[in-house]
Amino acid sequence: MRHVLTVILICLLASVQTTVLRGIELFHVIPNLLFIFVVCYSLLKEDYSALIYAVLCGVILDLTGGRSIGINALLCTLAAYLCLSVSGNLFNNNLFVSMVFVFVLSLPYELLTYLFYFVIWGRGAFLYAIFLKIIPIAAYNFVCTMALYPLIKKIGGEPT
Amino acid sequence: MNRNKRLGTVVLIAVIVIFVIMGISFATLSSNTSPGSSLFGSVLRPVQSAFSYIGNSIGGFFGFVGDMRNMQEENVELREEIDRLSAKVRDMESHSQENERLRQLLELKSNQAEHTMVAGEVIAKDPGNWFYSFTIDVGTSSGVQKNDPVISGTGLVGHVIEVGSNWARVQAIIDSESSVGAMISRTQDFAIADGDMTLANSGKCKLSYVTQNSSLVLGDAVVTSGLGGVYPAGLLIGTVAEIKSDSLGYSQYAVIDTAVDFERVREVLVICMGR
Repeated sequence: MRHVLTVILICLLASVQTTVLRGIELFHVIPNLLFIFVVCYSLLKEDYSALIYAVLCGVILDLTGGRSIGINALLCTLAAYLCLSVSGNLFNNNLFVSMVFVFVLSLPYELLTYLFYFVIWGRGAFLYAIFLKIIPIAAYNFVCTMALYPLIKKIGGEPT
Repeated sequence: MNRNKRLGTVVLIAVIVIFVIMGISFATLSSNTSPGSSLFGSVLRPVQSAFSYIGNSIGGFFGFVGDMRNMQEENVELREEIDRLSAKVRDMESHSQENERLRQLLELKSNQAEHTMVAGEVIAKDPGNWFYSFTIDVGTSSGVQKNDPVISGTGLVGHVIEVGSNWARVQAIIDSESSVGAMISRTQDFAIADGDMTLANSGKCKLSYVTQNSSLVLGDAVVTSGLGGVYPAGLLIGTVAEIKSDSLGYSQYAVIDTAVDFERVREVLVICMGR
């Protein structure tokens, strides 16, 4: 039942991500709700179902984004794996830890996306990308984690 | 005899009385008021007025107290009516705007009469922050194919980059991967309208490869050139908002203020090129 609810939550987040989220743009960026889910869920669950959901979320991002299939799936899976590796061993999980993880992992996630889609194709604007895209996105993800974490905790359940 | 004499006297008196009454009556009818009623009215009028004023005041006060409840109910009803009418006005304004947009689309449709047009609505936008694409609710089942140009009531939106049976993904012309063959309408100079990551947020794109001797001025309309095989010629891209020279000084480029408001685009037309 929890898995069904989790899949429903992912579908709901994907729908919100592609529709109404543009209405709450801040500094021309929107948060990545599916990435927040991946990080929070991996920290909460500490089992390998988190990796499956990370792949699912990444594929949804790839499919709805309409670009090369696999980049988001790969980055989400790596983020989930990193969270699984460190959570529980180093500290007790709570909201603040999730927020910090979301912020810190958002930076390389967006940076790698930028490198893959822009830099290797010869399109620059590096400072613009860092200061007006990557850092605002990470900050917005950080803030949105506050709203999403309780929901993910309730549906995903306590650490197994 | 005496009896006859007395009867004659009575008849005479009666006739006289009748004549007197008739005379008074005719006199009364010939003027507006009779002297008696005039005198009566003059004496009584101030008293009547005073009583009338007092009566009206007392009646008005009790009437006001009695009407208070009705007034409150009426006030509530009127407020509800105002709310209903305000909602109706908002609804009508919304319909009016939609009507205007659809009218513009129809005008564009008649300008591109040689191609089949399919109307679509934007149902989703790009989930990320790096690209400007969106999904519309028409696909191959409606005749839409990959690379078909997409326009809105005000100008060029982009082209189809991916298509399913009942959906299609459209890449906007402000997307950094977009490149459109363009022409400056006034001078007929050719150029390329490129999407630029730093300009996309403000709904602008870059007009590259404009020759140095081109007499480009602010406000010049930029349209599609028809070169490149994706877009037909003559679709409005936008107007020149800034003119700049490149670092080497060999060519200049311009910033185009696109004709389409990409944050609010809702209804679009896909030009089915039938490739």
